[in-house]
Amino acid sequence: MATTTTTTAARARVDRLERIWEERPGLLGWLTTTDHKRIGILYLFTSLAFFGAGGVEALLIRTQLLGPDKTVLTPQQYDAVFTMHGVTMIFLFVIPISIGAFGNYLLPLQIGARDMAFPRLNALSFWMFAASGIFIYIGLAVGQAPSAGWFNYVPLASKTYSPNLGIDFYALGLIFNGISSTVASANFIVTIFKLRAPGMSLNRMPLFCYAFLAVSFALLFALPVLSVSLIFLELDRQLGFHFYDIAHGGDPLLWQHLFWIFGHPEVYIIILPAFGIATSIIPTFVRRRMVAFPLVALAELLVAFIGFGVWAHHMFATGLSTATTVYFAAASLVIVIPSGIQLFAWIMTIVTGTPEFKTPLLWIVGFIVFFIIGGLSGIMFAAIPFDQQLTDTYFVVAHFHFVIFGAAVFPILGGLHYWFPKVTGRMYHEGLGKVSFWLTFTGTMVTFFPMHILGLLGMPRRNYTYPRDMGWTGFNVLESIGSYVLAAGLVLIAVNLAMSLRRGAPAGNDPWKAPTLEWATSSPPPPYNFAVIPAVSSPYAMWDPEDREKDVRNLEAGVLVLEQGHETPTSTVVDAEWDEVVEMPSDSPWPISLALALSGMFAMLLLAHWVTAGVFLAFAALVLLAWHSKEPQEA
Amino acid sequence: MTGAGRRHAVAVILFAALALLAAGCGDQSTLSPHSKASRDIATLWWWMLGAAGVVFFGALFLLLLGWTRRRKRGLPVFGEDEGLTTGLVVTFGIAVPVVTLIALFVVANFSVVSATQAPKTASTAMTIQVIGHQWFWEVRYPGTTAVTANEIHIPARTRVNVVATTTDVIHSLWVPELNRKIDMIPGHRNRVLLYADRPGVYRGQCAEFCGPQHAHMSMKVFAQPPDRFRAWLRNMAAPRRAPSSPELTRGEQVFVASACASCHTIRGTSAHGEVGPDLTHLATRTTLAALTIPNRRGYLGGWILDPQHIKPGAKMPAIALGGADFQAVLDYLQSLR
Amino acid sequence: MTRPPLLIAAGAAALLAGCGSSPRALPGASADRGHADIVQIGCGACHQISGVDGAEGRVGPSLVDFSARHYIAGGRLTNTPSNAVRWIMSPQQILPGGVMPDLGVDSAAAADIVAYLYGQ
Repeated sequence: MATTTTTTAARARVDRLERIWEERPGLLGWLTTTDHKRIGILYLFTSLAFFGAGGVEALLIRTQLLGPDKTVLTPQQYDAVFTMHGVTMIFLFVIPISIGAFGNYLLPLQIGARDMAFPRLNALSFWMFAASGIFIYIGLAVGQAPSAGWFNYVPLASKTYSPNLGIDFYALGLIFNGISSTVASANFIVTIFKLRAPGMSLNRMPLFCYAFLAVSFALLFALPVLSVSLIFLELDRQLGFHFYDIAHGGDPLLWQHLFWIFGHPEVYIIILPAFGIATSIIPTFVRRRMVAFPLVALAELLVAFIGFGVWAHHMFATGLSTATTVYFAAASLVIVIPSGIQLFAWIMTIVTGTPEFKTPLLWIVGFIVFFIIGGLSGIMFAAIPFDQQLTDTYFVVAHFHFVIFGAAVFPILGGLHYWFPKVTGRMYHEGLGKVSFWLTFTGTMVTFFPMHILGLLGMPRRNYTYPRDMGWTGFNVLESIGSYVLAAGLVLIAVNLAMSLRRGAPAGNDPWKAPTLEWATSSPPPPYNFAVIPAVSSPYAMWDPEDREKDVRNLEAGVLVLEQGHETPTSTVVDAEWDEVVEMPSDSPWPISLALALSGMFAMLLLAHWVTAGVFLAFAALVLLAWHSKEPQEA
Repeated sequence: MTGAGRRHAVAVILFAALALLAAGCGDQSTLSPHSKASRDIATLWWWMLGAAGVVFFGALFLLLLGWTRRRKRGLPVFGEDEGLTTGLVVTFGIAVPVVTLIALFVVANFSVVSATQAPKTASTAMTIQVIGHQWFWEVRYPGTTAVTANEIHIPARTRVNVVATTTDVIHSLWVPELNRKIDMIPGHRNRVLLYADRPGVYRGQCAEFCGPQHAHMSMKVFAQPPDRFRAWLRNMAAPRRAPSSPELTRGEQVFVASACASCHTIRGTSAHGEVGPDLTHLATRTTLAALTIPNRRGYLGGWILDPQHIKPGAKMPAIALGGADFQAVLDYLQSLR
Repeated sequence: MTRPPLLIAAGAAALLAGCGSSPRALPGASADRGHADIVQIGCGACHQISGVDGAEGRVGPSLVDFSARHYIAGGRLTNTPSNAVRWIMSPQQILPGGVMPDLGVDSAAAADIVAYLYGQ
């Protein structure tokens, strides 16, 4: 183990690293941190809080639909609740938890780096994400929630039909959120390309990192489109522009195209990190390397790429020309292939390995089952007439919940268990873990499977109520019961993990005998991650014992320890040959200050106080100046 | 329960569910088609379900195989052979999907789509115009003066070209038993084919979220024998039936003089409002407020006096009428056959 | 106020409810049919009635506590089964110019409805 020190010389080096990388203590430390692991934990708890809010919204929806003509919510409240549910789950939970929490915490560890390439930018993305989420929820709190659905079609979302500030909270909040994600994705790309431990050439990089590389590129290209569409919307709403206004030469379909050019890659952005988590957990618990590694890596990249060419399959019922629909249907079928490769690679790895069905692997098996269901129903939507019949019904609600909840959130929940020992240093309770899995699995199936049937029986989505005599009541009741079971499963996970935080058995560095580098260091890892930048000769670095012995020798000899400063090595993009050692910035108050200044600006844009917004922008500029000023050296 | 017993029970439940589906309970089901278009889509669905079932249970079988062999490495019979394993991934992940997807693509997007797409210009016997409003459907019959709402009458066994537009937000016209849906988008004139194999009533509903009362924006398509359809259309095109008694005359006077007339049209009177549905032949309709409530005296009365409790957010305000005026208006509206 | 007799009556009603007869018995009436009639006629468009989908109307008085009312028909009639049946059948005769319309309810249906309203 890299941190097992044997000589006093080595001990002294580690002590020096401790001193150099130490951050401020206490709350101030959390506010100014630039440590990717602490930022990951901040992301984790913030996104879990939003998960709780989105979950409560889901339960409200299901309770309102527990029977016909129920009045738990008024129609207006129902619309606000389902809109907030979608916005929350996608923008404030799944993406931040998978990219912000898992990506941030694990990616530098898996590539043997000491931090992200731009630690302060990393802190900035977190604080902007948190601020954007709070911003959107302030809208709900003051009774001005968006209520035109998460894809917010105009003209329903125009000033004429949605006169209150709800849509402005949504649009400005998501522009704000988008800056956060754009910054984060640029950071990930540079980190993956430049900060890999010398020796980790691209073909030795874990599949988890390939998934994050693909996601980061997808985000980088998809988000500007969303931002543009939202800026157009705000110009229409606040300054009387006419981008989407048919009466003045605009077109409401422009919104749909722009939104889905972002929105469909978004689906793969949501699911690719989950693929990454699956490819981390499966090899560990089946005790073998992934089958068809290069194919899977290629497939992850291809999915992100082809995902940009399929957006109009969300618009088959809008009256597009036949040629257009046929092209998009074909592209939507092509993207099945890389997904199929990954699916069968996971399955064949399990079949040919010796799987031990511990909780994390159970979640992955659940994920595979749900991904197959959601994937198969997804393929059906590439059949144009079927899409035109079933789109905007509960069938499509079933489809994307199997994909987003079943296939994206299940690996996240599995990952929570898998990396819990690494992050906390303690084991979760295996028995409770299994019970919570089966509860959640059953709840998910019972909640979402009948939605297929409801859609086939003609129930449109986004209805706050339904008539008694349509044959829909029984399935709705079943789904609502399922949602309560599902909620119970999630609560049980929270209880298990919270209790294990105090009482769990000590985990040690590597309780799973896992293959990737995060398990090379202590649990939880020290601020500098590794005492020695690890040696790497395959994507399964921890299964190469000679390399780990080499790390120990390096620490004793003082090779690749870099204890002279706050530093990490960089390497070349493809072959990861030693490049140079770069100085990493220390903790800093500027990221959170910039996020606050920008929050002020967005709040003022919301209230159309243009001058005050300008003042906040000037503040932001001042903070940026301070950010780039030279600081006194501490170490 | 033993493993085999449980699987048996699952199979029974599955078949029961399928039988239920095939029966197509409810009257807005995509699985009780009443036209070639809808039937082709339903057939496509059953085939896709079959293929999806093979894939799903095949994958499940492999996972179960993984579980039964959790202590043995490699594949059964072939053992540890990385080349073969990768080959299987390529077979299941690339080769099989390519063949199936090409088949699906051709069948769905060239064959089935031809039955469901918008009719070619001038290929239909008649055209009707359906206009979406928050939250009702206005129905017009070009070439006649007929206007109605929420109840589309068409001749059975006749190809009808429906022009779908909107006056406000996006709606989507969808009668699943007859055909796929088509969005109604400001500035766009979308078209869809409606055809019914036989006379009957087919329920439809708005399928694009259009605001708080999206849930109460339904409609019915009445496919009638051609002669009955023609009689209906003749009546619908005529102005309102003139009041035949002093009480009804009084009702018309109250209607025209009250707030009603600023939003509703009754052809043949001075009521020319264009916000709400045309009421010229209100009494011929079976429902009110886009299928929210039946068109019967008790419901009609409640709807006039307090629509916001029946359809919260609807554009119709409560109309304060004195008791006697109210009785007269009720009688009058019920006389508009 | 005649609290004690009322309480006794209520207690008796509760006791007797299980036996299928009550002080306000309507021979031959069925609350189940009454429920169907209420849905058919649309009473809920103007009144609140428990157990009927969408019966949230605020035009007329709430009928949720109908059995506890002393008077009905805007104070014209005491709340007896026969009066309630008469009122439902022809409100315009009892209260001409009132808002409650004649809805063409026959005596059997009116009795069923009253049975439902008392038994809510």
